[in-house]
Amino acid sequence: MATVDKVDKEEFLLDEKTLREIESMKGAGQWSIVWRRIKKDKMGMLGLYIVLFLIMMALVSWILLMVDNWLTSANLLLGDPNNPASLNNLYIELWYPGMDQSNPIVLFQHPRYQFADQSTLPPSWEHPFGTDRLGQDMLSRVFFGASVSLALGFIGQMTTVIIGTVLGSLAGFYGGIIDNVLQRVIEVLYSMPGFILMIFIIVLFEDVQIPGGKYAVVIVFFSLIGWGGTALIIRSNFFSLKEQDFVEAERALGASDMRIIFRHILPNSLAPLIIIITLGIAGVIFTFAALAFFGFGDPNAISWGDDLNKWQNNLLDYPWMPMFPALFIFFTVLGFNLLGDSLRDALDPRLKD
Amino acid sequence: MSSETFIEKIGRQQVEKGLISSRIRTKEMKEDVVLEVINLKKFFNIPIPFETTWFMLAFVAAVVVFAFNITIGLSIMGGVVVLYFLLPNIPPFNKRPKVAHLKAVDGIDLHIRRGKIVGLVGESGCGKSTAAKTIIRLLEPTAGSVYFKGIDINRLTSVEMKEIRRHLQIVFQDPYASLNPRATAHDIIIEPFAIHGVASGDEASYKVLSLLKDVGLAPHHAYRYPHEFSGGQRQRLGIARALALEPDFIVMDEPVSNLDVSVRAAIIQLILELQHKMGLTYLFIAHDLSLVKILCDETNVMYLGKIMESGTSDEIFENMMHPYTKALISAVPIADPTKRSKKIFLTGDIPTPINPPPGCKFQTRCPLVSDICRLEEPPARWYSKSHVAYCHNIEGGEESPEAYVK
Amino acid sequence: MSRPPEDVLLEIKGLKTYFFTEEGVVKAIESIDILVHKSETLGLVGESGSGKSVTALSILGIVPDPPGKILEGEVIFHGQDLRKLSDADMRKIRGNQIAMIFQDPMTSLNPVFTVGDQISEAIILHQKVTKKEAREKSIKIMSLVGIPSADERVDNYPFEFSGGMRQRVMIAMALSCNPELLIADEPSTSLDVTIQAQILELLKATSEEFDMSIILITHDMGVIAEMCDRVAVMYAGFICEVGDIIIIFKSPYHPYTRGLLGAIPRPDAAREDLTIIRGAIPNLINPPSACRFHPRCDYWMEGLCDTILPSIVTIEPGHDVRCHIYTEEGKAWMQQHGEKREISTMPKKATG
Repeated sequence: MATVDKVDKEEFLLDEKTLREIESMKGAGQWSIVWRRIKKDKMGMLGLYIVLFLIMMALVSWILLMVDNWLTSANLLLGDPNNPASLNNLYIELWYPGMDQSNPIVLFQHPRYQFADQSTLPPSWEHPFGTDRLGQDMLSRVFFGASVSLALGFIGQMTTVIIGTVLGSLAGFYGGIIDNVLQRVIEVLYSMPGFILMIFIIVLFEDVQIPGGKYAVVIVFFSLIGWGGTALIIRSNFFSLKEQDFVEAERALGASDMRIIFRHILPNSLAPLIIIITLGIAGVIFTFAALAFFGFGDPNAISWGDDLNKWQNNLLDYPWMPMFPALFIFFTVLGFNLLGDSLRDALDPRLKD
Repeated sequence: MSSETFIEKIGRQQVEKGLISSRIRTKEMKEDVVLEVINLKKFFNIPIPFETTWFMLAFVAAVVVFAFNITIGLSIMGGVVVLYFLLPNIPPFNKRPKVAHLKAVDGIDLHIRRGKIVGLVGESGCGKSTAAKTIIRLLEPTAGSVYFKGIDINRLTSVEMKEIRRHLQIVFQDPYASLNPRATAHDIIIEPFAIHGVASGDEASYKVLSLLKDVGLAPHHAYRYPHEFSGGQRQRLGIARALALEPDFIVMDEPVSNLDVSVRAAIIQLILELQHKMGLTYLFIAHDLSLVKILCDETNVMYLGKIMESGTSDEIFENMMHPYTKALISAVPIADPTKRSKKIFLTGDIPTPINPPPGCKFQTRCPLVSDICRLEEPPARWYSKSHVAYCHNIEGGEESPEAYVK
Repeated sequence: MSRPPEDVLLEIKGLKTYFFTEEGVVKAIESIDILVHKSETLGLVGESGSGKSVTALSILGIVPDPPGKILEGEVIFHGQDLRKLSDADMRKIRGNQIAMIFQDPMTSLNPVFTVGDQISEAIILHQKVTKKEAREKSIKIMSLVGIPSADERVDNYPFEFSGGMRQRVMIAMALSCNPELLIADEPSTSLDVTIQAQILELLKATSEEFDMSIILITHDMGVIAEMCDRVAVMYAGFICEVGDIIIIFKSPYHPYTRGLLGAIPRPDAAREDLTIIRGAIPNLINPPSACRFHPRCDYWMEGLCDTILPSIVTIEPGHDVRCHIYTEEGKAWMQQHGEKREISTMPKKATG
């Protein structure tokens, strides 16, 4: 045959310039276009900054809590017993040159530390977000609440998306009876009011002990009933993609179904998936905050929704108590929505070329 | 293990199982027929859905009852399900047709010998693309058989078929849609090697570069994405992918109709060059008759899923017999202002292929139409060993090609 | 072949249209000069991205803005510059004296109104008639463009028509106000050959009947050869060559025209006669300098074609070419380098 049984490698020894060009072409794909489009969108960038800030906050607070747990369990309590903050072994101090090192400014307390006689203080320099009725510093509560609130959003959304993607791709790719069954199931799921169903389930599982606390139950059931939307979008995406010529070409080459699904169709469904995830996280955080607000959260957890629930009756007398957690929920939802909308525009295939 | 023995082995097995007669097989081997298509049909069933609204309402009602009384609720639910599936079979509800047939390909015969370019022309919606996909078994045919080198490919298992796919390839019309937008040129062309485990690593990459060179692209194109190529270059990529496994037979599904005029000629020349170099056989599908005329050795004219006339290109273009071929060829604008021809205008539009009427498919637009066309399928009339037209109302011709064989 | 100046219906002088997109400035039309005479069919032929459709939109002043903008040039219709007219005056001309039909008959009709409503609307917009008269006129014009039983089909919606019939409706709509100039942007590209022949025949017949000029935009040299009196060949925002149809097809002067004619299968050509224009159509964000065809041209004069834009050379009245082979600079270059650049009168087959 005329082509490639034995390739003369000498022929393809490339000069420096071509090699550099090949290198520069690597990775220069559609994502750079997407990034350029997001950068142009001011609201999208604002959303991105909010989201990045919140993720940083959640990560830092999560690491601190982990360190604290480890130190407590290993009985390695540090610090001066006369310092109220160090009783709980966890605080962040602000140090600057020439300061009085015996009396540093404490930025964050342990979220459960109760100042003995400092309850219901309005915002001040010492407690920028004020303190609640138990004497806990609201700033610390909000800071450490970020990890649980965001983690719930991420985990909840990722599980629903994974279930939805798997079922949606199978239905979209194979069609027929699988697709029919899936659609009927989704119709049934959609015909039930999800939020009320969630409350129903939580009440049923009130006394069940599961590792991870009450929120583990909430997430499991949330994913079990929430995957319908993702599945429908992925299904229709697969439906149109599997008719495309490049999939036919793969088939003509003899590729297996799994190879076609995972290497060819799914990477082309990334755009809708990214949008679903970003916009969805905002929705999940909102849903869980609302559940907590109605008293179906975990009172022992440190999260914005639970704090909001705890102090909702104090909106008129001590407005800072419910206000700051609510503000942060608001900013999270806003940030993810702005970013999601911007991504939706940036990933729009119609704008390509 | 060379692939030839694999095909021979499959052929022998099929003869032993009695799936094909040994006479056909030896005859085709002798005549060096690459592909023989016999009475191929592909119908699409368009389901007419039964009303689901009532079913859903009844089901929801049953669920509500279920909340109050489990026994009654369950029995109602069961009743609804049973009715839903039984009702369409009980008169008078069974009167409604459950499916409509879209007869995309309604019995075509092709006979493609090694090294030939066989054209398949027709207007949009005549089923030529469906025919192409059915021939290489991207779609399962409704009826009929396709023999590739004397083996019936529609009776192969998926493992055997995967092996045969190395010899049957396709190049698509839309070069952009036929390339995965998220893969680089290198990834696209390395796919066939990865799928068949032919080569991997550096060896495969060198093969990719070599293929790129064969189709007239430079090595530095390897890491570009499809959207960074021009239309002609994309089609070169599509051709490179089809060539990767060194096939014998390639279906060219309108490979140049989406390209610009100045690029078109270059791609055609590439296609011809490769055929010459690698001894390929093409089924060339097109709607551009002037292209088919200069490119193809044999031409088949298709209309609404049926072949109207077929023969060598000379016979079709110089001595066409079928009224449809005549109209089609006269309708092609000729790029010579001194030869503004008199056209034959067909009245009306191409009818839909959904539940077509009996008789000749061309009856609704034919200038020669008579009563018999509406009743009976037209017979074959042979004008030479290779030239056949299917029409009731044309003169001359023999009933079978045997008359021309001495 | 040239006709007296009072016969000129439309004259475009130095038209320049750019599109300001986020990737950069698309220099769609750099400099265009076109003459359209009364009751003549001018073909505007070119490949994708040559600026044919943008030219049409620029004539009508409907270039999408943003991103598009007409930067320079005059569009003189009946002695008045259309670019200087107010929006209201322009609207009176659009659809009335100059009408346009588009490539895709599926999307250029509004799916929620009947075709009768849409044709009547065009009539009422430009003529003082009642609704009933407009409707009668629509029926008349629909039967004129060959739609059978027009009095019934007038109440049908666009989806009830086939592609060819929809294009007929579009033509009916364009003809409804007896325009003097019809711009047909790829009117038959999305149609099948047999339907295309019908539509082209209809255009030819109506142009004669209404004494109407047509600018026929297409990429199909065959359609041009069948339909036009004169042809303008466009490449990347310039007009390479314009002249009488017979002359252009018989002995093209511009290398691109030559290449284009060689690249299509001619009636009695063989496989080997197909010639290739190497390279690809340039990206108009960053087009080649000076003559935009020079990277693909076999006659490229290095140092000239890529630095100085060739001026328009009139070979004979009515036949203009924009190529350095015929300019003074080009002749000087040839003398200086001692090389000869001469276009052989091609197509082999057509002449011999």
